[in-house]
Amino acid sequence: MTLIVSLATLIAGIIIGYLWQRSRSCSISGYRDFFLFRDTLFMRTIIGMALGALTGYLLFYRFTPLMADFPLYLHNEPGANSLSSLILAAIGGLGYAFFSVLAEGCPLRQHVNATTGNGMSIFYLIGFYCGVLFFWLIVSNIVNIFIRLF
Amino acid sequence: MSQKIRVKTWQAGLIVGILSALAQSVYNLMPKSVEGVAAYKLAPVAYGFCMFCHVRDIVNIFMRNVFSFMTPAPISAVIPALTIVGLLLGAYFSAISTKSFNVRKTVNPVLAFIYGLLVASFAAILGACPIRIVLRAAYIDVIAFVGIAAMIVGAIVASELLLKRAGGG
Repeated sequence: MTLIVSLATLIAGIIIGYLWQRSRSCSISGYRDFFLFRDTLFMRTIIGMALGALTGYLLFYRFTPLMADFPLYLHNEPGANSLSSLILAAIGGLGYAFFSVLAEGCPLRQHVNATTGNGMSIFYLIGFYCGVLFFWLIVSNIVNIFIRLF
Repeated sequence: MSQKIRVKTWQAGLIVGILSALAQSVYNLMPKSVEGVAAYKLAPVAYGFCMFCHVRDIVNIFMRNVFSFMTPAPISAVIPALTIVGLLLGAYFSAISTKSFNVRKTVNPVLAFIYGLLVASFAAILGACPIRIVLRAAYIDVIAFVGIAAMIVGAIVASELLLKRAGGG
């Protein structure tokens, strides 16, 4: 059973990788181009993704117990909407977009660039994979201290 | 023949969105529960396709099998998701079929490595990557909108910095 699921995700990844390379889109260039130059070429990818996901959720939400409360998901669980999660989301979003635009690409774009032989993207990917370990060793302790404050 | 067929951007986005919704609902792709509380009670699941989360899952499985004393992330998928491997393969097939290789020399490898470290850390703080933030916004989640607003502000600030550095001198 798990083998079928893993193979299905592999096939989905192949389709997505092929489409992303042919259309040359980047998910963070959409915001940058639209708000600086009024150019809507890459913003269409983001809007298409939101519409496609919304359509998919509306079609499929009856079939799984996970999305039982799908329409208007406003979570009421204690600790879900607290101040610390909002602040973490804001800080994470700021830093992510800042360094992503400086390095000229979102991680998806760097994966695709690395397959066409761009040297900088390969070093970026090595750093990205080591960044998971770096986060667990060093940064997560700082985040835990930060959460206890609020 | 391959030169004439070109995928438009909104078509790519639409298919990515529908595929990720399909993957989550049909194949039950979800992160593991956190301390006994099921993950979908704290935040919407939205786990169909995410660059950072699936990379974390692959690193987690690799570390668990090879170095059994280090297991990085407490939250990882119930089922190992191989979307990243498929992504690299698909992009490679596309590059071969249109012969658009672009081999360039590395200008500054250390800087690229540090960018990779930083972007991965900030993605872990945010909890998502741009694709997953959009999927969570399709769930109508408040925190996702805050994340999108912060990303827009960060992108504008970085672009102004680059323009000043290139235009000013």
